[in-house]
This record gives sequence, C-alpha cells and structure tokens, in this order.
Amino acid sequence: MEPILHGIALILDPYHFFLIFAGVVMGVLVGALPGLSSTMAVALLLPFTLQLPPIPAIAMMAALYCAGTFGGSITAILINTPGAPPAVATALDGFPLAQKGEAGRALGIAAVSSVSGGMFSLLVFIVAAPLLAKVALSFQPPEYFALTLFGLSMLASISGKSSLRNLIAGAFGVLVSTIGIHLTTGVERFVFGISEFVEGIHFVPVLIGLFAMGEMLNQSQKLDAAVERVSAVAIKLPSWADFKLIRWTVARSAVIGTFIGILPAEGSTVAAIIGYNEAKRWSKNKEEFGSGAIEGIAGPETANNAATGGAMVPTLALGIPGSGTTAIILAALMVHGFRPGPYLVQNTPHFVYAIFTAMFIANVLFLVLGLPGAKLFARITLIPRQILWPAVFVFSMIGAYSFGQSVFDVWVMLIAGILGFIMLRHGFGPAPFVMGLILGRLVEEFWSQSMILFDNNWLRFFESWIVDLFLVFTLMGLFGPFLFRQLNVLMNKIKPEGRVLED
Amino acid sequence: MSDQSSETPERKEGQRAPSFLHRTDLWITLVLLAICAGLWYETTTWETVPPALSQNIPPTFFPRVIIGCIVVLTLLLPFESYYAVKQGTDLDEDRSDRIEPMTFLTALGLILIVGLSEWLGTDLSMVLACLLLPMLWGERRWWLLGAFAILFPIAVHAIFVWGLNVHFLPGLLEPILG
Repeated sequence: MEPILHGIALILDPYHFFLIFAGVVMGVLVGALPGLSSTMAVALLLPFTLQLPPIPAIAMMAALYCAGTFGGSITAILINTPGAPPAVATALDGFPLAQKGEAGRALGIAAVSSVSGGMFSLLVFIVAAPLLAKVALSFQPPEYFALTLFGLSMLASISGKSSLRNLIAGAFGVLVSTIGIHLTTGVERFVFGISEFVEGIHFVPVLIGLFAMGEMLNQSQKLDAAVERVSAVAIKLPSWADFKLIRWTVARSAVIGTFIGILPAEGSTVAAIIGYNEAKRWSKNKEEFGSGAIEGIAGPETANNAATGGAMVPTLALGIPGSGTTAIILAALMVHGFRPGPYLVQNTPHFVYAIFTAMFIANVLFLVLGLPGAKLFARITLIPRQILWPAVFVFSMIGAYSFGQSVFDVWVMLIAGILGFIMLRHGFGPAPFVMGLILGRLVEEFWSQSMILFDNNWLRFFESWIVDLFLVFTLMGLFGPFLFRQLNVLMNKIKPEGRVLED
Repeated sequence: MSDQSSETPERKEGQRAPSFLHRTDLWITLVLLAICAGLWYETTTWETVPPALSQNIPPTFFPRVIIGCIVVLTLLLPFESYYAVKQGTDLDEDRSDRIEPMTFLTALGLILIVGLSEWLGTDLSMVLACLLLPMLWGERRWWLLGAFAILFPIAVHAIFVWGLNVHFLPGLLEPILG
C-alpha cells in the first residue's frame, strides 16, 4: 500500500499535474487529427521530456497516450474520419448516430466508455504488479534473455498485414542496434569510418524519423483530400436508459481490452475491433449495428482504452512493449536511466504506481475536458495540411537536434523517415523496426551474460523452467499464427457440407 | 494453381491471378540479400579478438546470427504475396499507386533544408521550412505563410532555447545572436 500512496503523492505535485493536463490536451488534439497518431506525438514529445525529471516525463507521455486513443473517436463520430486507427470501429456506429442528430449522445457514450475501460485496466494493473514483482525475484540474465527473445518473437504480430515483413524489419532493427563499440571486446562494429557511429545510433532520432517523417511523406501523396467542416453539437452524458443498455457491453469490453492490451505486441486497434464484434455478438439489437447502435460505440471505445492501460503492463513490468506507442515509452524510460522489466516493479514500485496514477488522472481529465471541449477539439481538423505537416517537420528537426545537439542526429532522423516511407509502402512496419532496435541491445547483452554464466554451454539455458516457458511462448509467437491458420483450413475440410451451404 | 487462387473471395473480377513469384518482392529480396552480403563482408574486416578476451563470444557472433536470420526470412519474401492473396490479404494495396512527384519534391525539400541547416543556423532553417514546404504543397495565402514563417519559429525558439536550454546553431545570424 505504501508504494501506491508514495506514487500518488509524487503525481499530485502541481507542476506534475500541469504536465499531465498538457499531455491530455495534446493527446486529444493529436488523436483528433487524422494522420497524426499518438505514437508520433509521443515520439515528438520525447526530446521535450529529456529536460524533465523521469516521473513527470513518463507521466506526461502516458497521459498523452491515453488521451490520444480517446481523441480519435471525436472525429470518427463527428466527421466519419477516425483520428487514430483504434477509433475505426467507433465510426461504424458513431457517425450514423451523429447523422441522426445525436452526435452529443454518441460523444458522451464514447467518453464514458473510454473512461470505464481505462479505469478498469488500471485497477487490474494495481493487482497484477505485485504478483509480477514476486516472479521477478527469480529472474537472472538467462530468464531476461528468454523474455526479451519472446518480446522479439511477438514482432511477428505487432501490426500490418505480414508477419514475415514484421520479422525482417525487426531483425534489421536488431542489426542496427549492434552499430558501435562492442561492450565486451571494444571492437567497433558497422562503423564504416563514421565517427558518430562509434557510440551507436540512438533510437530517439530514428523513431522520430520513422513515425513522423515517414507519415509526412505519406501525406504528401494525399494533398487533394478534402477537409470536412464540423457542425456544432451539444455534448451530453448518457441517460440512465443508455447506461443500462451498455453496462454489460462496457464490462465485457473492459475485460477483453485489458487482456488484449497485456498481450505483448497486440494493440488498441485489435482490442477495439474485437470489442465491437463482441458487442454485436451479444447484443439483443444486432440489426441496429451499423446504423447508430450505442453498444457499437461503447464496445470498441471501452476496449481500446482498456488496452492502453493493459499495454503498459508488459512495458513496465516485463520490458516488452505492448504497442508502437509503448515501445517509445520504453525507449523514454531507458533514456531516463531506467531499465524496464521486473526489477523496475520490484525496486521502484512508487515510480510504476506514479505512472498509473498519472494515467488514472488522464482518464478523468479527458472526460472533464472531452465533454465540453469535443466540438473545439474536432475543429483542429480544419488546420490546413500545408501548415500542419511543415510544423511537424520543424518539431521533428528540432526534436532530433536537441537530443544530442548534433546535426548528425537530424540527418539520421531524415534518412530514417525516407526509409520508413519506403518500408511502409512495401509492408515493413516502423513499429517492429523500433522494437528490434530497442530490444536488440538487451538480447545481445543478456545472451553474453548468460553464456559467461553457463561457461559457454548453451544447453544450460533449458535448466530454468522460466526460460523453457518463455521459449515455448516464443515458438508460439513465431509459428502460432501459421499453425492456427492451418488448423482452420483443416477444420473447414472436416466440415465440407457447411462450407458448401455457406458459399 | 490458378484454380486454387480463383477461390479467394477478395480477388476482384478481372484481376489477374497472383503469380507464385512476386516481381516487386523479388527485387526487394535481391536488394536485401545484397545488403546482407555487404554487411557480412563488413564483419570479416573487424579486428580479431583472442577467445580469452572475448570470453568465447566474438564480436562477430551476434551480428552474423541476425544477418543469417534476415537472409532466411528474406528468401521467403518473393513467395509471400501468393499465399497472402490465397488467404485474402492484398500486400500490394499500399504500393499499387505510383509515388506522386510531390513526394519526391518534398523529400528533396527536406534534404535541402537539413543540408543548409548548419550554414543557415537553426532559426533560419525553421523559417525556410515554414516557407518552402507550405509553398511546395500549394499554400498561396501570403498572410498565412508570413505569419506562420515568423511566429512558429519564434514559438519553437522560445520553448527550446529559453524553456529547455537547448543551444541552437546561430549560422548566418551569428553577428546578431552572438
């Protein structure tokens, strides 16, 4: 209980509270802007937070992450343009309800559902964190190695359409992480005579480039797309009848979202889609879905926000990012001198609880801000692309420069952006690359430590049941999707009559 | 082969049956393999370290394992699209359109701004970015351009230099800024 109270006390400092408030406002604005993702915003925020103490820095990023997920629903409901991918499912019923003249009701349901999902996932974490810390007591370099390897295997399913391309992008990220001096021997690796490479390529300019510049080049292809005007709406909280109708949907989606968020590499978008599907499956009014069913708004909104809290669990407690955004938060933790993983929960529990208190406050704040300010937030979509994206470039340039006060980092950012655009075009996602870059260093470090510990006998890895368990998870992460697909094909073959009828 | 692929519901009418070997992915595979070959060669040029010093884990070990993994995965790449289409996933969706000339111009503009940034200085580079990029993207409201190119860099300067103590390169403004 003491670490929880300590964590709460740390966050209730007025300055920290102000930073969380700023993070929420930025998150809702960025979330509402199509094309600008909370991942990109967290990447751009990272250089700003370098001057801050670790707790408010990470708290601000976490608040932005929570609020960004909600912000996407505002434009999804009002103009049928999801500001962020997790809000795609919200638009399916949110926009039709808005077209019926009930935009305020739709926004109210989205806000209340988001808050419920977010709060639930945070409560789950408070219970789960001490349990993880207990397990953490037995973690040694071999266990860390197996855990990090498991994190890398989850790259296969992090995002995009192709597991193969995710793995290739992730492996290249790991390879880039080996640039610089080898810690054990002092040998320079992949330096190519460039003095700046000796210390390695830092992930801050790389991730700014991949997420912000890659998207800017992508946006340069869509300059003809029209900007929709936002009509004035009066936002209102759901009525008691609405509450009664959505309560089980909210409860179900909160559990689904939290569980999916906790799974490494599964994100809010997957949670939202499953939340929507389950809301429809269990609903008594299935025929209303797609034409403005309030359960169709509550389901995905609860799930996607529950997933944000859930995704922070593997990030902080295991050191494995649950999504692209949490990969950046993981990077920020490392920049601030923390090593995310079991020892973070064990040694600095107050820090972990401070972050979750910040997310708790962020959830309340975006309800308080979102209800009266949704109309205002939605109007940010009226900022012309011709102004918005050059501003993003300036922030990217200055953010990359300010990290090491070096123009070389700006070049790294720009090259990463151009490569990111080409990679994305061919299905190689930036998130697996960044995760590979972050986790790659750890994998090599833990591998080396383990091999020294085992006197170069790699068979001794199998002596630990935790290592064995994570290795099984790793194999499942790599081959599970393929096996499930084959199983599905087999099941369809067993029931040929059913298929004929379906066809 | 074509019978099997014609079963996929996602393929639109008139669309060609997917080829077993995807041409674009084959080119990507060749590029990636060439990069891997170059990187592997690079590992052979590193200093050799006695086993006692490297504790039996030479510096080449981990990078070579990763390069090996990339090569194995990359060899599957040209065939992936064929199986993906069979399962209803179109991997060509995002690359079916040609890259717009504006994207190349934007990339060139960004390279130009970063290339000139040391000579111009950070503040003037921001002004250049705030003028050049909107104009390139078709913004012609001069009052908006002027206000953006002046006020936005000032705001960024205030946040980073005065607020966060970041040192900006003075560049051409050195006589004024000192």
